[in-house]
Order: sequence, then C-alpha cells, then structure tokens
Amino acid sequence: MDLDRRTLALMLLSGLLGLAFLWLPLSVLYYLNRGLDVSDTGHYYASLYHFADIRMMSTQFPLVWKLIPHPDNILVNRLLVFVLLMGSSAALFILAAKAVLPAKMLSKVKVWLLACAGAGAGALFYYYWLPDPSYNSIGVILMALVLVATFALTGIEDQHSWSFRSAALLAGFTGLGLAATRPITALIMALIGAVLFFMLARLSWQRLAQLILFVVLGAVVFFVLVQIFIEPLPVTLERIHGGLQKREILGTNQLVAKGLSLLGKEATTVLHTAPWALLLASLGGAFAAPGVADRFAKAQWLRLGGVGLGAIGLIWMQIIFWQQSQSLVQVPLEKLTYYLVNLGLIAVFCSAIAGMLTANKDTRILYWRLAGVSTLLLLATLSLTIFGTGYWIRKAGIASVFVVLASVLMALQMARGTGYIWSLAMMSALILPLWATRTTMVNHPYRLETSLSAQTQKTSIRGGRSTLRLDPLTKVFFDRLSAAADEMGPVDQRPILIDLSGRLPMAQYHMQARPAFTPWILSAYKGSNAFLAHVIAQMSDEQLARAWILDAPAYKYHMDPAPIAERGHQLDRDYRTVTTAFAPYIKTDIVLLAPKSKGAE
Amino acid sequence: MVNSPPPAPILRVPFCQPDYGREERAAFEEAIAGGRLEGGGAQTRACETLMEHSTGAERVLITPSCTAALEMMALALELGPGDEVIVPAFTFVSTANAFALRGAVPVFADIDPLTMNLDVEAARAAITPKTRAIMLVHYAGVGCEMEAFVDLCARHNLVLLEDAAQAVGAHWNGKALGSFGAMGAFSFHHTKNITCGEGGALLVNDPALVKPAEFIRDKGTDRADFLRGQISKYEWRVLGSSYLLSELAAAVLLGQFRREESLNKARMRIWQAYDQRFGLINSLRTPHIPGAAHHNAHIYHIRFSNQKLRDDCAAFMRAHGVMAAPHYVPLHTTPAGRKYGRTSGELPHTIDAAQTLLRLPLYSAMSDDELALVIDTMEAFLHQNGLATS
Repeated sequence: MDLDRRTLALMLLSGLLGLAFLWLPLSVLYYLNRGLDVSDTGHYYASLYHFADIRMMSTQFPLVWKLIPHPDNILVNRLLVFVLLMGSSAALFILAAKAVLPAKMLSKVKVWLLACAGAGAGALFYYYWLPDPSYNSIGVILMALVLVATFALTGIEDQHSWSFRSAALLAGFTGLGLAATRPITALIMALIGAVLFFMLARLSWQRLAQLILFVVLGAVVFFVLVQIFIEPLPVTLERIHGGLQKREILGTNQLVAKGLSLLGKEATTVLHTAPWALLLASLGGAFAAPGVADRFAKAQWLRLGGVGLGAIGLIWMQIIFWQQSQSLVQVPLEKLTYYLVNLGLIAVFCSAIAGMLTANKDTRILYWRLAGVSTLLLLATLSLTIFGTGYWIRKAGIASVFVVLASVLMALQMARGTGYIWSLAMMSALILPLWATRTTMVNHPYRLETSLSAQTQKTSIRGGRSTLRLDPLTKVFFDRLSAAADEMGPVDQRPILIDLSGRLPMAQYHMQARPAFTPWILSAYKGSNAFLAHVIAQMSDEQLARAWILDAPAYKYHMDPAPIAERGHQLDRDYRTVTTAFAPYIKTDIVLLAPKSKGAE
Repeated sequence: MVNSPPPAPILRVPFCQPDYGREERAAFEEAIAGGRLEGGGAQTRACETLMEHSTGAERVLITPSCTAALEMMALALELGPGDEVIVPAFTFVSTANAFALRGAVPVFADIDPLTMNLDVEAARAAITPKTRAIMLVHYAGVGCEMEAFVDLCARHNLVLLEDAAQAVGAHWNGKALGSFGAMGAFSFHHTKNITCGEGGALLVNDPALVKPAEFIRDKGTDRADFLRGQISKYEWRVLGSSYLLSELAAAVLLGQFRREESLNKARMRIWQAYDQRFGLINSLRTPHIPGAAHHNAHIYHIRFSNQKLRDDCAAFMRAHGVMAAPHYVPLHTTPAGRKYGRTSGELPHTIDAAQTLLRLPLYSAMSDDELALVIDTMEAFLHQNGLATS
C-alpha cells in the first residue's frame, strides 16, 4: 500500500486517539471489585434478587436483567453491565457512522476509532456511577440497543433478509424491555427510532410492513420469555400498580414535572456556559467542513479561516471548562455536563449551518442528516435525563454516550480535506475531559466516603456470594450485619427487615432478609412516613411479629416507628438489640432490633 | 566589645512532624460542611468504629487526650483514697497523675532494662493488699510481657490497665496492644504516629465497663443511650466530665486513620534504616524487640554508656541542625511523684534509662535527605568519640 506522510500521520494519530479512548474501559476493569454504595445500589440488588417478594416498584428492570442467566454475585453483575455497556456503545458508534456517513469514508482505521470512542463513551457513563452503575446502566444499554437496531435497519436494503428481520426483532425486544424499565423513555425512543428510520432508510410499504411485523414479533418474544422464565403478567401488573401507589404516597410523581422545569433552566445554563465559543466553533467548523467553502471565491482562505475560528472556539470552550475546574484532574461533573452538551450542540449547529451553505446536493443531504441525527441523539439523552430516577444527579453520566456519539460523527465527517485539523481538535476536546472525569470519579466515587484506592479491605457480602474490597469503615458495617444475619436463622426462613433509616436498602440484600414488599422504604420524602405506614399495613400480624427492624434514631431522616407501635409492637419494650454499627453513608449509628418473644425464629 | 552569643543552629531536621494530607483536609471540610462540630458526632464515631475494628475492643471512646482517657479509667474503676495502682516510674506524668487525682496512690516500680517496659518481677514485688490495678505502659510501641502480666493480675485479682499512648497499630502475639486489659488508653498527640494535634482514645474491653465509661465521657450522663434512641430523656448517672473531642479534630484523626497503613510503613522504613546502621554497634544499646512484639516504629532510641555521652550527642546533633531528644524524668524523683506516689524498692533501670537514652527524629514525612543527615551526623559523633565499631 502506498501511503503518503500525511495519511500515515493521520493513521498514527487516529490509532493513538483510539488507544486513549480505550484506556477508559480498560481501567474500569481494574476497579471492578472496589467499593459498594449502600443506598441506590442496595435498591438495585434487592430488587433483582428478591424480585418475587416485591409488590411495589416503579420500574420493572429485573424483567430484563433476569432474562440473562447469571449468578447472584455483585462482581459478575458489574462485569455483565460492563460488557453490555461497552459492547452496545461500540456497536452503536460503528452502525451510526455507517448509516449516516458515506461508506467510502469508513476506513478500517476509522472503524477502529469509532469502536474505541464507543467503548470510551460507555466507560465514561460507567465512571459517573462508579463503583456500580446499577439500574441506570440497564436503561442506557437498552436505549443503545434500540438505536443499534434502528441504524442497522436503515442500512439493510433487503427487507426479506435475516439480518433485516433480526435487527427488527432486536428493536422490538429491547424496545419492550425499555418500556418495562423506563416507560416514558421507551415511548420517546420509539418516536426517535421511527424518525431515524424514515430519515435514513429507503422506504416502501412492504419494507415498513416487514419492519412492523418483526418489531412486534420481537416484543412478543420478550413478553413470552418473561411469562415463561420470570412471572405471569398479573403479577407484573400488580407490582406496577403498587409502584404507582408508592410514587403517589411518597409524592415522587411530581418528579417528571419538576424534571421538565429543571430541564428548561438547565438548557438556558448550557447555552450560557460559553455562548461565544459555541457560536465561533459552530460557524468556524461549518466553513471548515468539507464541501462548504467551495462555492465561494477564495475558498481555500475561507476554509482555513473556518479551521482557525473553529479551533479557537473549541480551545476557548476548553479554557472556560478548565477554569471552572479545581485542577486538570479534578472536574466538577455538573460543568462537564454542560461542556459535553455544548460539544453535542456544536455538532448540531455546525452540520446544520454547513447544510445551509453547501451547494452540492449530496453533501447538503449528508449535513442535514448529521444535523438530524445529532439532534435526535441529544433528544434521546434528554428523554432519559428527565424521566430517569435522578434528574438532579450527574446528568452528564446519562448524557455521555449519545452526546459523545454526536460529536464523534461530526468530527469524522470533518476529517476530510483541510477539516482534519478541526476534526482532531474536536476529538481532543472530547478526550481530555473524559480522562479528567475518570480521575475525578476514581477519587470521589458515587456515594462513597473515600476514593476507590482506599477500598482495600476484603469483605464478604450476602453470606459469601460476593467478595469485594471496601474501605475499613464500610467493611465493619457489613461484617456486623453479617454476624447479626446469622442470628436470623436459615436463609429461606428469614423474616422481613424494616429499614427505618430509609437509606440502607443494601442491609436487606446483604443480610438475605425478606423485603417489606418494596426494595426500599425511602426516607426524606414528604410522604415517607405515610409510605412506611402503607407498607406496615400490607404486612400480616405474623410477618410483622417476626420482622426485624433497622433503626437509626439519631439520623435526621429516620422514620417514625408509630405504625409499628400501632400494631402493638413497641421498639423499646418488645425488641432486643442484636447489634449496633456505625453506618458510614448516613454517618450515624444504626441499631438492629429483633423481636424479643420469638427471637429470629 | 560585647560578645554576641553564637548563632542558633538552623534546625534542619525536627524531632517530629505531623503528616497531614488530602484525606485530612477532605474530612475537615466535610466536618465543617456538616455544621455540627460538637463531640461525639459522625467523625468521632467513624474513628471509634475503625479502632474497634482494628483492636477488637468492645467499645472505643475518642477523647480529647490520652490523659483524659487515663482519668476516665480511674473514674470508671471508682478508685479513691486507700487504693494503689502500680505504674512504671519511667513514663509520662499522666499515667500516674490520673490516679492521684482520684486520691489513689501511684506506686512506682522499675522497668525492664531491655524494653523499658514495666518489669514483671518489680511489679510483683510492689503488690500490697491495697493494690487495685497494674498500669502497663508499652514504651515506644513495644508490648510488655502480656501473658505474664495477665497471669499476675489474675492471681492477685487486680485490674490490668494499659497505657498504650505510643502503641497505636502495635501488637503482641497478634493481638492489639490496649486490648489485653480491662481498659486501654491511646494518644493522638502531635508527636504520635497518628495525630490530630491533641486527642486520645479509651478502649473498653470489659463489657461491664462500657456503660460507665460512656456516662463518664458525657458529663456523667446517659446521653449516649438517649442519642441511640434507647431512652426518652437523659439524666446524671455518675461522676464524669466532658471528655469529648471536637469534631474538627476528630475529622483530622479520621483522615489519619485512613492513611494509618502508609504512615506506619513510612515510619518503619526510617526505623529500619536507623537500626541497620546503629543496631550492631557494640557500644550502643538500641531497641530490643521481643519475638512476640509487632511494634509500630514510634520511637528509635539509642542508649549510651553514660549521661555525659548522651548529652554531648544531643548537643552535637542540635549543633548540626538535628533535633534528638532524651525522654522522661523518672516520676519517683519529681516533686509531685514524691508527694502523691510511693516508690517500690530501688529503681536502677529507670534512672539509667532516664540518663542515657536519646531519641532520634522519626516522622513519616521524613525525606531521604533528612534521614541521611541524621545518620551522617550521628555517625560523625560516634567516630569523634570512638564509638563507631560494630
């Protein structure tokens, strides 16, 4: 092969960029067995492995996850999430590029770069939730797979081929899975998938009919598998009903409205982060984009001017971002959200302006496609952000995969002609914050007191089902609960554990106690005490009499045990203290109480 | 012409230097952000939990100092006039003062010349019908002969207490020092391996003493039970005082505990470097570590053949910018020791240790250059005095 020096240099740079992206997922593996969050993650594992006992839950993600055979082991779970997240993300990047960009552009080097960037973006998401991305990852994996299927479908001409049918089946299967996990997000994704399909694919009624048929079939397969291997529909419906009641009582139904209102504010903030830099990068990028300057006189100068302005805009944006950071390796995650979304917006604006300016019809279509796809990817991001569990927590974690994809697509398109400099600038603008995020999150993992490096003590979780390395304080907490769990009796006869702290669902999972019909009685909500009363009301006299209680009397969000007392069980009279332990997450002592009369039975 | 005094040597290697880092700052800021800085809060409980885990103690209570922890021991045992407690004479004043405060009599006994810990036979000889307890001091973080003392106390029905001020992280036969007796006291003073400036801890190993100790720390009240939700209001139960450490100091302490392993490792590297160089010199006596002891590199000391050599060495080191320090004035020779205490027999080993021992600088953040300067200066002194032969 005859390679000139420029091509060789570009190949080398692309290879290095790919490796830089790939470092992110590889270093996730190093931390896979470190740290454990006792709140959200506890909710996740309690939901998964006590699913049959649960009757009140607002998301049915275990229906999806339990279809994948795997042991009740935290490390295996994390590995599974890791593989699926990186894999689906890498596949999405490659298929999206194939669907949007001209085929001749996708050399082997670029496919390699896409796979690495995809895995890196998946890892970025993982990093936001280190040490355990838990159920948030399931939503993102399913969304990525829906998009994988959609992009694949647009590129397959023969609607009777098995690849077309398989992709449609995958869309239906993962679509219904997403509906079980995040119903509103699934609805939005269905719309996004449809728009993408209509935008990118050659349409015929026959093709559409085949598509609908196999999408429905895919959904049916999911439904049937759930009925056979997990549970019948009435049970699911009962749990959904219970989940809706739970939201109603807790007062969390307003979250969607609150999320939408917050989104409006956030959108304004995003646009105000670096408006001039955003404008400059978008305009400059558009003039530097291949095929845009050609229609004007002095095209070469115009293109070079565009490259210069675009690069200045990107550098300016970087400066603003780093100025808001404490150091090069300590980034505020909220700011990173804005930064990433700004990069996504540059992709949208840049391709839209380029589409408006270019004279060539094919090129114009290409830019309009890019603008459309980037916009839809941003919308996909927002759909999970608004309707996710935590609209206020690290939205960038949810945003990362799709926003990064939008930027990478535009960067790749730019990597032609003189636009390659701009393209490399955009890739670098992506990768530096990603690396900084990695360091930040390793030092400040989600809901942990200490860095992942400080998670050194081997700790047995859930009667030895998992062994993780935790910080010494958390290890003591788990060890004390383990010792207490032994007093609860045989695993299959263990009583319900009522958590009055409302913050430690992991205790129930770890002790292999039964849940109180819900994986988490959340404290600190307006309706927390009312929800506790609702839960206690569901329990039979026998269940309540046997139940153990985890209390944290000095904790500010500790819930009132009045509903238990009203059923004739006084905490100070009828229970004995099995153990006390300092719970690092809520920074106070918890007391584990067992009924006096019959012990743990 | 007026003679001006010679210029003071520039201190290039201090005797000790606390090593505060990112963990401590983060914990400190977290404490401030938490908004509650009174004692007994989250930072304190976190420290206590870590110590309970590492020592196996029934309950650990973080206190404002080791002195406070020792005073709590005396209160918890309800010692008073007519009671005697055997203590080594080669120790810090607080070991004896805590009991004298209650009206009990500290009885000074001699030390083992090798370890400088209380000598078993000297302690046995000091026992009288009035003796209520034996207080061990684990000098330099090296454990006393624990089996012998446990046996001695059992035979004479005495309470075994441990002043483990210097012994955080040290063990005897795999068991943490401070966890053998009914109670143990630790120090987190400026000079210690783990420090928060001023701080201490009381290890309560006898379950029967947990409640009294909790009462004593909280002004003699059962407030701890109240905070745990075990009672609806708290009241005055026993004699006590305010022995709670501020959350600010506890936050720093928590940061130090999180780095305990690396801090002790760094100290051990220096201790071993000293021992490699000076351990085999015949004319010097260096630390003796019994086979059952796992020490924490708290002190590296050198003992000369006489006081003059020791004092000359200290002066020589100081003149070269290195701070080396002798240790205790024997308690039985002090005015208060004579007034409040009693001496059991002659204490030749105590006197000898007080006159001949010199401690070399030792801290975790000591650089290689500082270490080399200490060793080179010491070697120069030894050469000058013909002591450098091994």
